[in-house]
Amino acid sequence: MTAACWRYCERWRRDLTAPLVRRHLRRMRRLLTAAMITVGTTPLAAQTGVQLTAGVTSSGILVTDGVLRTKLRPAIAPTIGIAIAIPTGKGPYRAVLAAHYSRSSLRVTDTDFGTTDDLGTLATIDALVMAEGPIAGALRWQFGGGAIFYRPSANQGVFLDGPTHRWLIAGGLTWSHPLSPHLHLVVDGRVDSHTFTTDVLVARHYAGAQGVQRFGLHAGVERTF
Amino acid sequence: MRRPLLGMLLVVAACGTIGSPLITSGEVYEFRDVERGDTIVFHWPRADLPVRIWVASDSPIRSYVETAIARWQAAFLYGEFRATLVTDSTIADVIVRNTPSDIGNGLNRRAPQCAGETDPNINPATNTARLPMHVFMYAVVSDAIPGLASCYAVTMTHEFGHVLGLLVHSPSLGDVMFADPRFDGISERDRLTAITLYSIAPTITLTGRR
Ligand SMILES: [Zn+2]
Repeated sequence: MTAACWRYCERWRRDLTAPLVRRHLRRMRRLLTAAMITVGTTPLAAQTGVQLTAGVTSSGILVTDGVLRTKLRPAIAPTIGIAIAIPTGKGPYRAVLAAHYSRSSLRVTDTDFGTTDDLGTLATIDALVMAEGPIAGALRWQFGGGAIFYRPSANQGVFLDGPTHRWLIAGGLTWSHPLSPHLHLVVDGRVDSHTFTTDVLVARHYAGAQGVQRFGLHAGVERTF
Repeated sequence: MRRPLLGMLLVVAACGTIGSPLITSGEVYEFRDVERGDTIVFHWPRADLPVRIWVASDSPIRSYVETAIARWQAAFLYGEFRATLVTDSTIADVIVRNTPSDIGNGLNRRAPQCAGETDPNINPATNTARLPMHVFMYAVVSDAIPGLASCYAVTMTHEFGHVLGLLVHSPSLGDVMFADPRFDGISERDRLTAITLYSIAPTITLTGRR
């Protein structure tokens, strides 16, 4: 009997006891372990906490110039973050105020010539207000919005007019594991989305804005109170 | 209901691409030179950026060089042309002097107050440009004559247009690359012509110091 038949052949399931196959036991052990980690970990619901995290942020393309056949994109950036989570009531929800700082080189790729060049560094700071709620055990969702601030190392190119900011929406998952009664290991994965343009792009008749998605993966600690 | 809506918001916001403006032939002037029936296109390759410029630290035209660099750099959105001042002339790609040309076969401009000349050092027979390039700019009147500063500003911006690869003069008086320029800055046609130049493949390769 195959595993698929064991799962779906109702008649067979009623009449017979499934043979104890070693790989079934292995799978069950894995599931049990995962369930214990997820359910057995103390959730952070309704606790005030302060988080410090570090990780990486991968940004999408800031400008795709279809005429000049050029793409502008920040390199994968090391990121540090701080967040304050405040319970919204007696339930399991929290309001999270978070900020992240990341910095990497700004890369331009000429698709016709096949060349890539670094145009200095680009720092970003995002400031987010998010709602957080439970999914299962220590796994929680986050969703909210805020602003992203671009800080180029030089006022040139698309950043000729200097720093700029854009509004963004963000969502993600966060998982925590207690290290001590008031200290938790936290791991979060987040995606945020905003539209990018600058004053000089508008002045030079670039229409609309470029949709930019960023993916972040951070790990750190949360101190609860 | 909430999850699909969230997903749709993320997808809509993230999928748009910025609309690049088209550049029509009427918005640019000819920037390619023709030698012996062959078209010559020159611009600095990205691998050789920033272009290293030398001008004497005590030169009265140094600030005009800085202005010209800043103006042309600002014409580009993706760092296609970048230049930096260096203190050692022996490593410079471009040498700028406040003297009359001692080469004499460059692209020259003479106004009532000042004169300028750029020698891109291009050899059409070998399709090479030998570094360093030379730029000359000097006063033809006393420093006390009004209009010299303006002449320097216009002329150096014009000469740097040649340095970055605009080998032919604009037919329009409103452009700094007009043969006898009056426009103190970079016009929209100058800008579009420069970015068009940097979007096509050059026929000239650099030799010499690099
Ligand atoms: Zn000229």
